[in-house]
Amino acid sequence: MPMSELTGNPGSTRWYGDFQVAEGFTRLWAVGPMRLRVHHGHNEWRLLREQDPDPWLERFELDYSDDPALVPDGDKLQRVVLGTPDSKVHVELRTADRPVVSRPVSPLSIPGKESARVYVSTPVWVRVTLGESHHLMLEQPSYRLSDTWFGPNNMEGEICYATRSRFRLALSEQVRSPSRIITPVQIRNQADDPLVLDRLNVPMPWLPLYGDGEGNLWTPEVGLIRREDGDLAELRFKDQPPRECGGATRLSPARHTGRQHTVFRAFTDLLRG
Amino acid sequence: MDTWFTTITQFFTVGPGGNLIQAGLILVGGFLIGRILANLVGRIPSTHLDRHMGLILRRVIFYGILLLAFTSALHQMGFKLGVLLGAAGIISVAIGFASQTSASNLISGLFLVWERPFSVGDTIRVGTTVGEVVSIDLLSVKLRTFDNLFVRLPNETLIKTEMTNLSRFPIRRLDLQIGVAYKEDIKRVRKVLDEVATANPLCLEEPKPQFLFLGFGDSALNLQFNVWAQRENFLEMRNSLQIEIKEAFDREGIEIPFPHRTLYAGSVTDPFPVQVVSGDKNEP
Repeated sequence: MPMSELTGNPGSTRWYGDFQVAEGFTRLWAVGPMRLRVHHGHNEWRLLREQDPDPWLERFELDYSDDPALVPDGDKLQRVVLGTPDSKVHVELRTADRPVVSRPVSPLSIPGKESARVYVSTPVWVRVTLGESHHLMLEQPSYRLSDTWFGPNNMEGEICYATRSRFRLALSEQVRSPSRIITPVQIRNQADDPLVLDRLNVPMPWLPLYGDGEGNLWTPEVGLIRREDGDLAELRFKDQPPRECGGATRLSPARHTGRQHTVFRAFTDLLRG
Repeated sequence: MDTWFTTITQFFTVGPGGNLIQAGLILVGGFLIGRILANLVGRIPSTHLDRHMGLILRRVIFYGILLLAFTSALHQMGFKLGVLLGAAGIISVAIGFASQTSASNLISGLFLVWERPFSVGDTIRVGTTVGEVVSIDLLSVKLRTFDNLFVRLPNETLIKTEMTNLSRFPIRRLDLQIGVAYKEDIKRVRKVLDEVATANPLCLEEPKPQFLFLGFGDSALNLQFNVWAQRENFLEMRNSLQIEIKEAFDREGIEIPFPHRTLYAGSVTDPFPVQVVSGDKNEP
């Protein structure tokens, strides 16, 4: 008779942090569209991340069982062979490893000298490491985003992710899920002419991740200022949770730390009108 | 016996033998120093020096030092370099006629290095050959094709003919030629194609997929669907997208027709007679 322990409330149950997986047992995380299984076998670990085609799937199910039916298998299985008898698994959440491009529901216009606050929702990246030495076993997004190109032409630019969720003017309208991160973006148009906003490039790898008591994930507020000359954009962010979350703890640092706080980039690198 | 020994000793000390040994040592020393310095350049990480420049620098250092060692060795052996260079001028005219192709390749190689249309590691297409550049040498460029064949292309050919670098830009476009039956609703076909492209994570959202109606073909409505992918994912996207399009067409009942011919007997003639035969396959 297999032993099983099932939990399922994103508000009260943390699905990230440290977990014990004894030999012969499998731990399952089914959070949003992602279904992740980690099995501790004899001298090996088996990891499998599966994805539901529906990015908005509302699901929160954590399981810990020695049921053989839960043991991951298949083509996409990742096997890690380790001689150490460690059984502690760390599940760490991170922001996306590339900038994410988001669009409004329909193009927005911000008149000169005006500002707007929008909310961008992006999937969280899950990083599974093992033991005290934190051997990396898997790092995958909770939902694989489409690739996109962001640049002034097809020769210059960078590969980003495109999120299918639109950015919203009201936080209540944005998709809330324990597997998604909310980034508030404050856009200020200091130029005289209106800014018609068609796409927004959010520099996720430069942002740390915060988690609040209700299971929501946040990044710091990103400030985007279109300067008076209209050609340069200023990007600002501080390492502190946004005001909307009402107190949160830092879950992981930013992936890149090279150019923090204030960055001047070509206007077309961050915003496309 | 003593005379023989003295003759040999004199040959190697005051005679031409000593110079020969010294010249030999200079050559060997130059070869070793060139090798060591070239290897040191090879150890510079690719973050500081790309593969292409590293390869060129290694060759310049090695052959430069070898040339210096060779001229020093000749000098040691008593050759007068001025006279040699004069003689080399005359000889080079003769050699130049004899080795026109090699000289042309050599000069073309210098132009290739200067113009830098591709680097080591890039994928290029020359004529019908597509492959990854393995090395750029003085006389030729070596490619490794995707079926793992080694191809040597003379530098002169590369200068003269059209060459396409498939690795220059980070994104590439895939042009899919699709034919659908005349009965199909084009708008619906377009919607299905857009949905398939949106669902495929390797297919870039921007630049947007492009739908083109090419014309009325013999058997099908000819369409073209242009989608973009990251260069590294191009082949994987080409495979997965075509499979997904076929699956989506099957699911939606969209027909991809075979070439067919309609036989028409003309308006004034009677229709072709059709005879229905028994469907019993067991009948002899």
